[in-house]
Amino acid sequence: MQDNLLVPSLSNKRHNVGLYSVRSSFLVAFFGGPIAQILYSTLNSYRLKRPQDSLFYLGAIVLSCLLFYFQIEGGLAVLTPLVDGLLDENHITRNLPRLLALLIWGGAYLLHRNFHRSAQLFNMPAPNPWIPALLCMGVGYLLSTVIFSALAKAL
Amino acid sequence: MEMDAQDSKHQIALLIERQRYAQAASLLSDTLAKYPDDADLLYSTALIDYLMRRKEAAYETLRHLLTRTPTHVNGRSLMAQLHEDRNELASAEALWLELLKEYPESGWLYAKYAMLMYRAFHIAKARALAKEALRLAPESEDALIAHLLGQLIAGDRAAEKDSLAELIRKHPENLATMHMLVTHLSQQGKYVAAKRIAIEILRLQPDSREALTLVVELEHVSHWSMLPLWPLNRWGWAASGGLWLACLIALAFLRKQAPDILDMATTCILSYVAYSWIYPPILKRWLMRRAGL
Repeated sequence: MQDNLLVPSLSNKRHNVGLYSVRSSFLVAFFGGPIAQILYSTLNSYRLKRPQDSLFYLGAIVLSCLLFYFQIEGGLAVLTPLVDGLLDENHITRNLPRLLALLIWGGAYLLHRNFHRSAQLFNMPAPNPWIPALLCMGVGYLLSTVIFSALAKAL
Repeated sequence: MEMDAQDSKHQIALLIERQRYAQAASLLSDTLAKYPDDADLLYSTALIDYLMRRKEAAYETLRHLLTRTPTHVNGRSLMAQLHEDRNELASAEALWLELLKEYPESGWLYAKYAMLMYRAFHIAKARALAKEALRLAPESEDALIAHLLGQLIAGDRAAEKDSLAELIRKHPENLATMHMLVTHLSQQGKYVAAKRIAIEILRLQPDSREALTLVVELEHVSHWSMLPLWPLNRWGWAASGGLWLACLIALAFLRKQAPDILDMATTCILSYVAYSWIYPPILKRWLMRRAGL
């Protein structure tokens, strides 16, 4: 056990792994939608070298596609019994993509929770999020439009 | 002559311990003039520069020291710390591993290596190193802190409480213990209690800008006018997400059931959101200015 602990773990270049902050990630989810959030979260997984997170992102992509499918097919009416007479269903269904994006944000946070806490305890500066966040939101919007259009044509 | 050098070294060490860096530097420069190649004196020079935040000067002195005396233990330890501060984590790791191979029973070295691994996001390895540090040196403050940090990171509340209690019991008046207590209380949302401890830290280090900043930050989150924002401060962005969901459901309910008070409800929600974004930075700036920061 002791010998395993004394094996070097870091490569010989300037350490530049900082995580994009929880705050920036939340804002990307809130304003960018589920695809943007998936793209932005993968940046942290890439920086942490965690290929095992890809299962989570695959699941998130499937859920996003399902959401688009139900939006096209009007299948969100299945929610009606849950909200019937009680809530304005248009208001709810309009915000479902944002809700899904925030759930994906929550899932990604749980995956990386220990690393975020470590960064906070050691006051490690987060990298500037502006460019990657805007890029993810832009690409996320384009991909959402493409997926939505492809599904609409197919159905 | 040797007694003179030894006496000086002893006095310098005492002055450094009492944080009288200017006096130590003055005595050091006189002694170095007589013994310019003494490894321990060179190390003390680097240490004083490091403690007075002259890190580049400390780095150059240590490079000179380690070129002449590459086996100097304290010199290598301080150089490892400097590498960490310069974000050269691989170089820091190499030094800590070198020292650990020479001193495999040193709990302090394991604790230092654990702290580096936490910074490099190798959390599992860091926790294992901290556990080993504690096994080798159960009374060591650094080992206890490294172990406690692992529990704070993992969110293991029960174990965190026990480790913190042990740290307080074994090192009740150490600054590092007080800092850990402040961290623990802040994470629990007990900002007033954390502020009291931070004020004690400031009393012990009245010239410390970091200690003053800590007090101001805790005063900021515990200010009476920030009380409506306590859930957001306590649970962060998860609370923001929960608040958004609650507002979504509330507005959808009002649209259907009571559309005439919808406007008023929307105004209240937007006012709270505006207050949560605009007011805290204004208050913080005012408190910082008042503290002279």
